[in-house]
Amino acid sequence: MITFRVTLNVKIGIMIIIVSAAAFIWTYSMPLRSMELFIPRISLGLMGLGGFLIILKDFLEPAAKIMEPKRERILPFLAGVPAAMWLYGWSFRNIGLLTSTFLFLIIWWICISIRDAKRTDSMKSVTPKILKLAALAFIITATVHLLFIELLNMYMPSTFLP
Amino acid sequence: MFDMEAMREAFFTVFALDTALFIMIGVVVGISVGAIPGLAHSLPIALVLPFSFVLPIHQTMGLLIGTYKGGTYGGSITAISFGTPGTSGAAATVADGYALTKLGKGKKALQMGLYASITGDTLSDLALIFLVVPIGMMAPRFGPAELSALYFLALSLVIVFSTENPGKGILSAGIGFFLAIIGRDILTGGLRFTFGVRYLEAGFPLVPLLIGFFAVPEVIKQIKEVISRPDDSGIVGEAAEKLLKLKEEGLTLKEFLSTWRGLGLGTLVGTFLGALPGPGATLSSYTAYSVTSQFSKDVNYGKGALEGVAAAEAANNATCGATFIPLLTFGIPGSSIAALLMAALIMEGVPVGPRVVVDHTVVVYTLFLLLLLANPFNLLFGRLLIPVYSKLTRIPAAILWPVIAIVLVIGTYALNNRPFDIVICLIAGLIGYFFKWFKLPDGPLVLSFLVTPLFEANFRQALTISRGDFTYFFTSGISQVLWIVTTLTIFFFVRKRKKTDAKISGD
Repeated sequence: MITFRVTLNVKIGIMIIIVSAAAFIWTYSMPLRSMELFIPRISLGLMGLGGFLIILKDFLEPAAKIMEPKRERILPFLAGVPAAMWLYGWSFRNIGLLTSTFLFLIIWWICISIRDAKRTDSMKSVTPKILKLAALAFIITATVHLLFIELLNMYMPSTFLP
Repeated sequence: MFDMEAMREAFFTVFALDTALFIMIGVVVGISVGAIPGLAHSLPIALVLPFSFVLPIHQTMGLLIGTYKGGTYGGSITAISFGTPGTSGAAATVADGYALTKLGKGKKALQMGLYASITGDTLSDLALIFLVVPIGMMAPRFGPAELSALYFLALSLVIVFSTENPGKGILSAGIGFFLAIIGRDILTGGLRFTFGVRYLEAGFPLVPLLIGFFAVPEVIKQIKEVISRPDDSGIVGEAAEKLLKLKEEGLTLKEFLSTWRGLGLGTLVGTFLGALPGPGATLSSYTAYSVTSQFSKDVNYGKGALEGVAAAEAANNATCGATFIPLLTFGIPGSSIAALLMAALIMEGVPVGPRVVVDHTVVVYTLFLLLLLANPFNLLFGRLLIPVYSKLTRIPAAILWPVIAIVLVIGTYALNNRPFDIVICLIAGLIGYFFKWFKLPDGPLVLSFLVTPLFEANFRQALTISRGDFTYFFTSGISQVLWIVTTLTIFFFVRKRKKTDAKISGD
């Protein structure tokens, strides 16, 4: 029996159908031959069909069996982590591989160490821990330089800092 | 036919110090990463993929095959020691392996896992060697119509096998199709869905896509864990060393031989399912584990039997060699890891497909020897370094993941020295995260991304030959068989799934 219920799966399924249908219609206004658009239309059709089947499965399944995606606060991480990675990519091309790698690691580890020290009330031991992590960051930076620049001969734009 | 000269050339290439060194590095990296839960072993393969631009093919493939085999085995270490599978393929090992550890037989279980993995792996490599050449010799008889039917079969299988929800499999394949057609049309040169971005004219770049799709979601997930749950992140097993008492009694030859059913069935099931596009290590090990349960005479099966560990681990590793059968004969990667290996071969200038056995015989023989040579290394390092690997699970995530993130970014940039590749890698990472979150299977996307250019080229070539007559796809005997197999497979699995669903609802 079909039970109409609006789960998160259904919402995402509807969104996928709308996007793929819109793109499918858009292909008819493209200045391309029908054979050039044959596979793209199949792909969009498959996406739409996939969305429809996802909705249908939730309508047909008993409520207890429906597996919904977890609702958790992930957006800041989805934006933040790729942004940090892009920033690192930008910085090693503009500031220098050694400097940016070392800074990237040490800034992250200092933040985490201070947070953990505050959390566990162990601020006294944070300085030696940071010094150890700085040494580790230095070793990793040197390894990265040896591997990518010396061994793999990767091209790097000339920068002010190493 | 067997080419002695090509074999001689391949032999001297593979049995050299540099190749052995790269296999060794691959095995150590693979087992190490495979032993860390949450780190899929596709991640180190994706990370070492850029090396294929600078290393010769035998070194690159030695590194990748070593990583693949080591990673496939490595997942069982934490599955047995802590009940936490390092890779999804080792999940079936948990029931019996962890139960044995709790019974104080952890060392026996770990050794059984290692020996079963090596047995399954070696036998599946031999199956590959004996099957690839006959199938490869038949492959040139496949014209555009037959190849289109074959690619359709592969895509159908991967969708059917990959997920409980066929809608999700179809959606994943649709996204893979779409990403693959971005760029210039293969016949006319017309631009499709490039949105005015010049860099996309050559198509969605393969390596940044794969690196981003597999590795970036893990980075995001782990960094999120470090920030939002500082108490839980990083350390997997609380009493790792206590559980892993290596002074206890090891596995005897008699015990090993007594698991022949599990070993045999595991190897057979793993080799068969590994050779099909889609099932992969996880499904193979679960299938072998449940098939063996029907034949096992061990009353402890499921509660701490060596036979259970043998079946799951033999099947898990038997997929390693078998996955190369469709890859080397028709250019169809059987799993997402096979797709990464295929990408490496393509980047090394080997056009994987029906003619590879004929046109690149030396490369094919080199791969055979590399696959065989990686097994003793896996055995040696698996045995020597088990205690070390168990400690790897204790590397704090806060230290490990930023390092992986920087290697990812530099590795992606190093491919073409193009900042745009980093952007593509990050976009692919977001797509990958959506896949993880929405539980979409990754196999159909990767397979359709790789197969679509081949499918489209053959499909349109066939239509050009037949002047638009679609019946041309069903005229030859080979294509008729392939279409019948496709229809029967879909029908069989849909029916089986309906029955299983009905049974579960009844229960």
